[in-house]
Amino acid sequence: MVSEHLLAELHKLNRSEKLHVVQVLVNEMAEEEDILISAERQYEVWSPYDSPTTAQQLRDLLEQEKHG
Amino acid sequence: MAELLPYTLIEGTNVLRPLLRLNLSYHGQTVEVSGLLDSGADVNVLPYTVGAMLGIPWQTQPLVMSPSGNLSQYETRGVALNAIVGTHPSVRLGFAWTKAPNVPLILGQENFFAIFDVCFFRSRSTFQVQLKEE
Repeated sequence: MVSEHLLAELHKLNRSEKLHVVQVLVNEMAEEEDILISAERQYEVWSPYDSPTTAQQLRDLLEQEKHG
Repeated sequence: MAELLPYTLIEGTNVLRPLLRLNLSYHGQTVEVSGLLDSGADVNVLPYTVGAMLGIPWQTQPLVMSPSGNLSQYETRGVALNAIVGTHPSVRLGFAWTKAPNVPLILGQENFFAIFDVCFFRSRSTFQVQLKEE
């Protein structure tokens, strides 16, 4: 919960000071988002980008069909 | 000149994806699906549920090596299906049919990109798909 005192102090700031506060908070939040992508977590990557054997097997399947 | 197709805005996000509508058929049964055009994928991937909707018997399809990534831990079968894209004539597509849950239908190098020429115009949020010239 944001304290009334803090809000009162923020209201006293001029326009450029308020913009500065906003910028600092936005940067801080962006950094937190980056931290959410943790090296220790697993993320779903469905794309089979390295599957040459499966690709060959599917090629063989289609070839056999042509000649079968 | 191939028709310009729009990227699809994924609900609840600002993400645009090149999703292509196509009809897949197996022994007279047809379903309309959206496939993700994934030029980085080595193979086409068929989700288990789509194969089941087409009535493909799982056990009688040949086992193939499971593709890499998250798909590697799931049993995979090879299956050939008839596919119709837009007004193009029917083609034969080979799929790695996976039991992995929640996987999208992926159109990859083997053999979608071997049959169709695909141009991405991401800056204009459009793409083109054209059957290769023999």
